[in-house]
Amino acid sequence: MTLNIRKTILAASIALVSFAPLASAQSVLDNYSPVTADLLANPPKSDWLFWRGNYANHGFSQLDQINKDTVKDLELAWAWPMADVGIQETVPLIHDGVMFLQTSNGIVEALDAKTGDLLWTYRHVLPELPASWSYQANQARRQKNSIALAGDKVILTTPDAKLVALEAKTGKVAWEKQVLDWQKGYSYTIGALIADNKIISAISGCSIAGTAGGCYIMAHDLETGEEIWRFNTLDDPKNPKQGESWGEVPPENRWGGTPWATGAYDPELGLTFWGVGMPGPYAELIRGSGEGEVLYTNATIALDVKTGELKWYYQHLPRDNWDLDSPFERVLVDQEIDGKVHKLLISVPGKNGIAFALDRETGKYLWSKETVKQNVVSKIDEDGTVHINEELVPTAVGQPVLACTSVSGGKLWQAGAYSPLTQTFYVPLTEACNEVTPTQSEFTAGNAVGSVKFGPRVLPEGIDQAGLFEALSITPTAGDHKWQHRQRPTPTSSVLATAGGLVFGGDAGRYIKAFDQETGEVLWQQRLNAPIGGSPVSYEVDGEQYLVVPTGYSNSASSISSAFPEVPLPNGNGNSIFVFKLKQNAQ
Amino acid sequence: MRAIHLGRPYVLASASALVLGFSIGSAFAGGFTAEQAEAGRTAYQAECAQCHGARLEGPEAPGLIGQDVMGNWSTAGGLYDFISVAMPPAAPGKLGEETYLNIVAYIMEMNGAQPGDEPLVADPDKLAAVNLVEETKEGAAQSAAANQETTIEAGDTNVPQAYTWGKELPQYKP
Repeated sequence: MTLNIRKTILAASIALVSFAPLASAQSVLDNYSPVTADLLANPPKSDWLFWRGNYANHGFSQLDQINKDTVKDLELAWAWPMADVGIQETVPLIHDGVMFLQTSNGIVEALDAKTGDLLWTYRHVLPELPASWSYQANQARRQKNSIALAGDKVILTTPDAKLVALEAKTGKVAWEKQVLDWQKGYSYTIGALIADNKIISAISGCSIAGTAGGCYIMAHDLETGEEIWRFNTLDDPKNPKQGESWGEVPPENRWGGTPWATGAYDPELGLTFWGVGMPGPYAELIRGSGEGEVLYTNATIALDVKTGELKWYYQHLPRDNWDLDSPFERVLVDQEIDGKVHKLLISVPGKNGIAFALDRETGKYLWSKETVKQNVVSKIDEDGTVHINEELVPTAVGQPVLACTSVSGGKLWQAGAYSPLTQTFYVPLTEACNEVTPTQSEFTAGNAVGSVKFGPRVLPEGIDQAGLFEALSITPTAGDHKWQHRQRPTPTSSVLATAGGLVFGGDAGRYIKAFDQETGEVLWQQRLNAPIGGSPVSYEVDGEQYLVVPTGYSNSASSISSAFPEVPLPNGNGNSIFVFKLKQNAQ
Repeated sequence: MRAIHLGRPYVLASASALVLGFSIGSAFAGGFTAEQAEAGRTAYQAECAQCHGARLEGPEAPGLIGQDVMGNWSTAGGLYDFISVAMPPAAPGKLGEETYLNIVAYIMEMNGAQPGDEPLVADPDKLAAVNLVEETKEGAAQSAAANQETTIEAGDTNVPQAYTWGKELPQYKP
C-alpha cells in the first residue's frame, strides 16, 4: 500500500518525462560524458554534436568506413517512428552512443544509437492556441532543424518561445526560460548554437502580426538562461542606414527579418554569422517602404559573440518583393593558397539560389554564381551591390508577376555540405517559379502578414526536371559547377558529405542516394517510406559507422509535387528515422 | 475552360453553415450553390482534411479560415487556380474541375459566404469576379457577433496593421 502511494507520487513528479525500462538497467547513458567547450570546438568524428556537425556548418563527417567501395553493402540496422507528425526538418544529434531526436511540438527522445532502444522521452506542454491562429499553429508543427548539446544538458528551443535545458542522462528539466511572448506570435523554429558559454538562439514568428518591430538573435547564459544580449534585425538605432532603408515605415509596422537557420561561429574571430529572412509584408507596395533596401532582411550579419555588436553586414537581396528570403546556412571555409589563409563565408543564402562568397573578417563580397533559373536579380556589381529586376516589382494591388524561383525555392531549409576533400559545396535545389500578386488584407492575431497571393509552383520554361543536386567548386576568387545531378523529383533533405568521398541526399520520390563527390555518379540508393527529410548524418559506435536518415513530409515535397506527378507522394506523414550500417561480413 | 452546371440549384443552408450560426435566406450570396458546397464538404473531408483540418483549422498544412486567408487568395479564381494545379500533394491536379470547384465553394461557405442560385463555374473571368473577402465579410462578422467562440474564429484584428493599411493604393487593371 505504502509502496503504491510512493509510486504514484513519483509518477506525478515526473509527469513530463517517461523512462523506458532499459534506462534503469545497464544503459549507454551511464557512460555519457559532458559535451565540453573543447568537444564543441573539435567534435570527435564518432559524434554529431551540431545541426551541421561543426561550428563552420560544414555538414561533413570525417568517418570513412562507408565509402565509395563499401556503400553498396549498406543495410538497415534499425528504424524508429517519430513521436509526432509535422513538417520534417529534424537532425538527430549523437554523443557517446546516445542519439537525441526532436520532433515538432517540443518532443525530445533519447535513443541508444546502436540498438535503437528508447532511453527517455520529454514532452513539452504547449499552450492551446485559439483556433483562428492557424499560421502560428502550423508553424509550431514545423520541426526545428536541431536541438543543441552542452555539458550534461540538452538545450531545446520550443514553439512557445522558451529555452528548456534538459538533463541529458534523464530528460528531466533543469531549467526553463520564457524568452519572448508566444501570445504575440513568437516561436522558435530552429535550434540554438552553443558558443562562448552562451546559448545563441534566433526567434521565428516575426511574420506574425503581433510581433511587429522586433525579430531577434539573442544570447543567454548557458548555466542560468539569463539574457546577455539581443540583436534586432528590424530596428538598429546604431546604424541610421538601417532605419532609412525602410523609408517612412516605423518599426511598429515592420515585419520579417527572421533568422531561421542556425548560425555559424568562428572562435578565432569571436564572431557568429547569421542569415536573415525576408521583409513583411512581402511586396514593397503594401509594405510602404518604397525603393528602400529594408535592412537587415536577406542579409548576412556578423555579430561579436560576447556583446552582440554588429561587425558587418552584407545584403544578398535588397528590396525583396517576392518572399525570396535568404536566411539559410552560412558555411565557413578556410583555404590556404600560397601561404595565405583565406577565411571565406560561403552560402546559397536565399531562395533564388544564387551562391555567394564573402571575406568573413570584413564582409567584403568576393564572388557570386547562379545555380537554378532565377529572374529577380538582374546584376551584381564587382563591389557586391545587388540590383533587382524592377520589372518584377508590382506597382498596383492585384498585379501579378512571375518570379523565379518560387516562395518554396530554389534553395530552402535543406542545408548544403562542404567537403574539404574536394573543396566543393554540395547544395540541394529546386527549379520553380510562381506568380506573386500583392493583396490588401487586414491582419489578424496569430496569422501572417505576407499580403500576397502565390500561384502554384511551376517549372521554368524549357525545364522539365525540378530537382537539382549542385556541386560548386569553391576558391577565394570563384565558384564553378563541378557537376550537376538533375532529376524530376525535388531534393527534400539536407545533404551530408563524408570522408568516404560520398555525398548523401534524399528526394521527394523517397530515395536516399549516395553520390560520388567527384563525379556526381549515384553509387547507392534506397527507397524509404516517405520523402527523405531533415538532415541525414553519420556517427560511429563500437567501431561501426552508421548513417541515419530522417523521413517525412515537408513543404519541399508537397509544394511542387505537380512538377513530377508520375511519382505520387504518400498520403501518410511517415515521420521516421532509418539507420544503416555496413553488412557485418563486408567490413 | 468549359463551364460546368451542376443540376438544379437550391437555397438551403448546409449543416456546416448552421454550425457557424448563419441565418438562412441572407441577402448576400457567394456565387456558388448549396449543392456545390455540400459536395465540396465531402470532397474536402476525403482529400484535404487530413492536413488542413476537419474544420479548415490546419495545422499540418496552412489553415483556410479567416478574412486574411480570403484576402490573400483574393478571388475564387485565385484559390481555384492554385488548388487545381497543386493540390492535393499526393495527386496534384487530379481531382477534376468539378471537384475543385466544389471544394472552393465549401471553403467559401466555411468562411461565411452564403450559397445562392448561380453555381460556381470554371470560367476564369467569372471566377476572378468572385471576391472572397467581400463574399465572406458579412458572414464572418455575423458569426463573430453570434457568440464569443466565433469571435475568436473570426480573428482578432487588434494587432498592428501594414503601414499602408487604410490608404488607397493603385489597383491593377489587366
